[in-house]
Amino acid sequence: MLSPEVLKTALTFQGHHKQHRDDLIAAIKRLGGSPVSPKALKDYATELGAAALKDQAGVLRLALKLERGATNAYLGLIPSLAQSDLYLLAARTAADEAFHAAVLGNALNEAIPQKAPMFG
Amino acid sequence: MRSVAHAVRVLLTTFLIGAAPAAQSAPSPHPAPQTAPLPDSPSRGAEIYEAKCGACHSLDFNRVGPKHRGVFGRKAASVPGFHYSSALKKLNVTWNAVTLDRWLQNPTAMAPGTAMGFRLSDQSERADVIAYLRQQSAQHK
Repeated sequence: MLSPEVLKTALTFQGHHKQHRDDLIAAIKRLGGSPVSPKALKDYATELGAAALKDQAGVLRLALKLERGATNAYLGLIPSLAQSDLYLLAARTAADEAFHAAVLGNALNEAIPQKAPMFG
Repeated sequence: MRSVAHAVRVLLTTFLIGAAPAAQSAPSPHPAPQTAPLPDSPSRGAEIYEAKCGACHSLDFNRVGPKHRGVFGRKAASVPGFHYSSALKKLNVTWNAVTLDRWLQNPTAMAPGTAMGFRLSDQSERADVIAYLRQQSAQHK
C-alpha cells in the first residue's frame, strides 16, 4: 500500500518512536515505576480501525491524526510533571511528533494552520 | 544578492514579530470590548477531543485511557476491562459536567496518583469537549 519512499519515511519515524518508547521506559524506571507491557499488534490495529484503510492517503491521514494527538499529549502532560528532566523529555518528544505531523501534513497537501500556537 | 537580502529581511521580520510583544507593553486607553464567550459546541468539542484526547482515548475502545462512550452519568473507574489506577478506583465521583471540568483541569489534584497527567488547561476547550461527551452519552442511551 505504501510507496517505497513513504515506507522509508515511515520506518524512520518508527525508529524515532522506538527511541521515545525507550526514553519513557527509562524515565519510568528512574521514578521507581514499572512500564506497562505492549499490547498485541492486532489489538492496536483493531482500536485504530486499520482494516478500513484502503490506500496510502488513508494511512497517512491516520498517521497524521496520531502524530498531532501525540504532540498534544506530551505537551498537555508537562504541567503535571515535577522534575525538569521530565519537562525536557516531554517537550523534546512533543517536538519530534510535531515534526512528524508537519511532514505528513505536507505530504497530504494540507494547508498550513493560520493561527498559532498550533499545539498544546 | 538582492533576493538573498530580501529573504533575510523576511525571516528577520517573521521572528521579530514574535518578539514584538515586549515593546508593546503600554496599555491602550481604549481597550477592545469584551466579547461574550461562544456557547459550548459539541462539534468543536469533537475536533478538540480528536486532537487532544485522541492519543490516549477513543469513544469505543479502551486504549491508554478508558473508552468514553456513555461517560456522562458513569461512576469513575467503572469501564469493564480497563485497568484503573488505585487513585481512580478510590475516586468516588460520578462523571458530569462539573466533575469532568475539574478532572480535565487537573487530574493529579483531583486523584493524586492517577496515571493521567494530561491537563486540558483552556476552559472553553474543556467546555466544548464536555459538550461533545455529553452529546455522545445522550446518543448512547
